[in-house]
Amino acid sequence: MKRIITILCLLLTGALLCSLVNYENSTRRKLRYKNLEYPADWPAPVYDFKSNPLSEEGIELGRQLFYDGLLSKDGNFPCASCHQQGAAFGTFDHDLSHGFNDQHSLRNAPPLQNLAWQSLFHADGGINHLDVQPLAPITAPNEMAETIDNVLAKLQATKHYPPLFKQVFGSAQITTQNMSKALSQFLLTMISANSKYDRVMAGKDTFSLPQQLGHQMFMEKCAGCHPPPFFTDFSFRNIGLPVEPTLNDFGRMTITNDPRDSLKFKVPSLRNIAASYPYGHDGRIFDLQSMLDHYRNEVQQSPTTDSLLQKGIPLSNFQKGQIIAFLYTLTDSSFLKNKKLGAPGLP
Amino acid sequence: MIKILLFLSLLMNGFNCFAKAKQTITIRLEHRLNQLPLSGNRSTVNTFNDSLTVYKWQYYLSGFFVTDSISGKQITIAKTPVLINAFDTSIIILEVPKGRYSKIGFTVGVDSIYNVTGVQTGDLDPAKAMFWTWQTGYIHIKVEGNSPQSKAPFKKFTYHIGGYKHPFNTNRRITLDYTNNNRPVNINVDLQPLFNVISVKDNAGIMSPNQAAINMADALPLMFSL
Ligand code: HEC
Ligand code: HEC
Repeated sequence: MKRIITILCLLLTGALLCSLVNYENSTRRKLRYKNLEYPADWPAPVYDFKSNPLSEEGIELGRQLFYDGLLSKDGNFPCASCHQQGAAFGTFDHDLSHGFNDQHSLRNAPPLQNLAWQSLFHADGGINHLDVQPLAPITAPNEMAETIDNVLAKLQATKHYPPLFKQVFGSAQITTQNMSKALSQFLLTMISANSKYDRVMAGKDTFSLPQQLGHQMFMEKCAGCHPPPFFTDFSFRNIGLPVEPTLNDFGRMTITNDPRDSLKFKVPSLRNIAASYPYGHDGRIFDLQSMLDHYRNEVQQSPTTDSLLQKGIPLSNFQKGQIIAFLYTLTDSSFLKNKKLGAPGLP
Repeated sequence: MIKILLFLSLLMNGFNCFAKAKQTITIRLEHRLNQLPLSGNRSTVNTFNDSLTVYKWQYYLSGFFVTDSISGKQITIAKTPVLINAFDTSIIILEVPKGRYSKIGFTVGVDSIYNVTGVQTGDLDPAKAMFWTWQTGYIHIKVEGNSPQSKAPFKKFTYHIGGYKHPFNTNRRITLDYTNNNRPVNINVDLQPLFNVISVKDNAGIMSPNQAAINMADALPLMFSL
């Protein structure tokens, strides 16, 4: 009896090995794996690349999905309809994003950049992993208005996608997990690290005088919440914007149910800030002048207003101009125009 | 790479061939509405005098374990969470080391690790609609139906109980006696205790981790009996 079992086990080992070797040959070998490229002095990313190793093919598949209307109910709302490259993948010149049936979403679509360093997503931090992020807009009735099953079925029914999924993930069966991983691969490559600010820091360029004074003032008055290199500390804070009575958006408290989190929102990055107006979680602030006027004069005090803003941020008109001159140096035109992040040629 | 695979598969074989003998335990879940078999046509009345009928009832079971009757040691059974649809036949087969056991148990819900590590597969696939997309996390138990007392559209009630983080962790552990080691375990799962802690008039919808969800989660252990 024992002997038979041993023989069976050996046979099984053989079969297992063969299938694994075949698997290696047929799929994995063709992938061009790559590491995320980012400046040497940045900290290590928080995204777990071991569970989703980047490859040229995976990134390209993610790009096609990002720009494909198939992911939305009526075909008109791909990810890229709200996340536009020229606006650093935020929505150009719109306060609340538009989605299915011309409905507004609750919030302004934020720029997408340097996502590999972020662990909570959305202005209220409700989403805890980049891979699950796409499921939110896909299923939201006022955004892409689809069901996950339907999207998977539509992708599966194309001639185009199943072979690409097979190449990247080893199976032509398109699953929620693989679709999300592909999208993440593309999103992770949205790295903005080549603004004038970055070049000045690397000693390859110089600030003008107003930019330089603005930089000093920024480090003094703003970097407590918006520290380089990401220009956010990824925390949630209340900067004293009054609650908008029709949206009734209390930010972080919606997720934690903790009154101490009332009106706290994620500190946004300020990279590419000049390209991603309007500002604030609901896009209520139309330009940088008004944003600074808020910090200067309009901070509403409440029990959760940040202690750094108890007196607002005193700024003269002159200083305002200098800070804005500095903020313009955070625009990274190589990111806004990077062809690898743009719409793919039609398949 | 190939060498590592070879080594791994040899190791696995080692386990298969020489590990201790296994036995299986079959769990049969009998779903009930106030002690009577669950049916979409049956209604029940809760302690608030609301009348309720149910058209959807799904939940996750995970973290299965048995307790050795001699040593009293708890043995955890490696198994990913199972999605139960109360309107289908519900049988779960557990593989345990050969032995005699005095207790059997599990958790109603999904352990936090699956809530924080991205998109999962199988019964945990977010496409199963047991997953909140705007506030990451699994719905541990989903009960939907109608009640004339509901003030929600179409007189519906919608109870989606979930949450994996303190103070709104709704995972609840269930431990039951396991006396007859040779027979399947028949477990009655009754919705009544859950309905008894909520007034449909006052609250016909729970759809995020909050105090109301915790109150209902605290009733989960009362739902399971032999
Ligand atoms: C209808 C407009 C719309 C569409 C379509 C859309 N998004 Fe968004 N996206 C938003 C809005 C609005 C937010 C901010 C939500 C919030 O903060 O609550 C957001 C947030 C995000 C974030 C988090 C950014 C951060 O810093 O927190 C990511 C990542 C993202 N979207 C990716 C995607 C992907 C991938 C798709 C396609 C599957 C997509 N979006 C489709 C509007 C949209
Ligand atoms: C107490 C922390 C804190 C300080 C100090 C602070 N900010 Fe902010 N900032 C935030 C938060 C939080 C938001 C997001 C508010 C929202 O979404 O409603 C924000 C938003 C912004 C925005 C809009 C970004 C966008 O994409 O919508 C700009 C621009 C900005 N801050 C610039 C500055 C400047 C310049 C300073 C210094 C003068 C400064 N901030 C100081 C926390 C801070």
